[in-house]
Amino acid sequence: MIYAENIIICIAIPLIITLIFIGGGAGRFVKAFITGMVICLLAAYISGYLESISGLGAEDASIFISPIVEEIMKYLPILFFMLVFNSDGNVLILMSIGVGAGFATFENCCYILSSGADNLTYILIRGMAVGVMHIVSIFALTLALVLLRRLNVSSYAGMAGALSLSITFHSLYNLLVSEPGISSVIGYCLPIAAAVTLGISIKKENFYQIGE
Amino acid sequence: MSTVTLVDIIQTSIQIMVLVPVIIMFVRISGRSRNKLLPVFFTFAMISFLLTDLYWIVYNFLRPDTRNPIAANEIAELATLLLLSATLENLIRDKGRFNKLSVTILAYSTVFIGVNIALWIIWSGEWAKDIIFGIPYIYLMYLVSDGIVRTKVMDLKHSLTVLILSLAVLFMLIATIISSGTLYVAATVASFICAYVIFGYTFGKCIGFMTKPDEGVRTVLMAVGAFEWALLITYISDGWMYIVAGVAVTSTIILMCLAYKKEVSEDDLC
Repeated sequence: MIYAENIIICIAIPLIITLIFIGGGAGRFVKAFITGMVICLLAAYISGYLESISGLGAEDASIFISPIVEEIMKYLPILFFMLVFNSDGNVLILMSIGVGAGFATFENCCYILSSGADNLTYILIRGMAVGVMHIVSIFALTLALVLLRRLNVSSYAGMAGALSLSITFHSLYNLLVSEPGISSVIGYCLPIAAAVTLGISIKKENFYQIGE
Repeated sequence: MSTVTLVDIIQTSIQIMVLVPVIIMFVRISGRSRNKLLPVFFTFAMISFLLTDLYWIVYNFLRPDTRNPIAANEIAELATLLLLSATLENLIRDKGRFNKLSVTILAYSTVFIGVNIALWIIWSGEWAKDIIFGIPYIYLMYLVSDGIVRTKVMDLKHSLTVLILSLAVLFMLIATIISSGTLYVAATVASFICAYVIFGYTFGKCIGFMTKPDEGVRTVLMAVGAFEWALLITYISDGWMYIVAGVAVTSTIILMCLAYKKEVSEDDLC
């Protein structure tokens, strides 16, 4: 058993202290990072509760329940900032990266504490896969939201569609890595491949300028 | 792994081979088109559908012939429908045709898909999932039907024929639940005949509009309608009929690709 609440306090305090000295984009990123860690903790509580009431095993719950809960939880702060504070598209994208990175970092910390960090190769693979996956899924989701707003489409269907897209991407990753062998290898490569494809598409087709 | 599952994997793989070039083409169109919304959201919708297929294949390989408790592929399918709905909202509103709610059409869509949802619940027993996943079908059917009425895609005679045939499909499907023996077989065959007649009609109508200039909106409406109908057919199909319905879905992906391309290029010319 690990004490996740204690870990989050330990990691968050230095980050909160940095907020005294920094502001602007860096400050927003740190706030989003801390938010991401808190959301990771809350998502773990909810997933654990749903696992116990659904009767699914731990592995099935991680494949079928966790992606839905985690993506919805990551989505909520971005949606909140977009709808309540009417944040600028670039701010939302910065925040999404922060939330994704905070979420992935805290999840990795808890994983390392519970399973050990003696195998460097596996730790590297986990960092490159889970870390990138959380960032890519929330980034793509936020990009879709920003595009919706820039194109003046206040569509709930579009918002829900973007969320469903990120849930499926996450579910596919969890399903692939659940079985050893070639499926795991494909699963670990999936986030990096998605990040590269997304990055190239954005740069090549000027997605950031759409609607501006 | 059963033969049907294996053929299903092959059919889904072919669908992926169709989806990949469609996505690449629309990413390029998104970059150069003046109307960004349609190509961008159609691209997202097709990426969602690609994820549906990928998840389905991976699941069938890793856990063949087992029931998927919470199907992520269905969540992606939901994403596809919602993103297509977002494009239709914009398309119809953009043309000044989405001014107020049409209660009659909404009621028809709700009743039609509602009965479908009830049938899905009877077949699968997963009531919560079926209700949640049924809602986007209601919304998309409403948008397509409303668009069809407002743009006068069909005359009254054809509209009534499609309406009666769609209700006949429902009655036949209900009959399959309460009947057995020869009556069951007759009801099943009749329901598929009616369903595929509607599919063929919407498909043919869409191709008809494709060849005419300035018919982009109607072409998109019929293509999305054919796509949704093909998806609904997959839900009433089992075994080899599911494979046939899958082929119908693949054909409508190509149809939607051509329809959206036509609408985007016509919009760029305006």
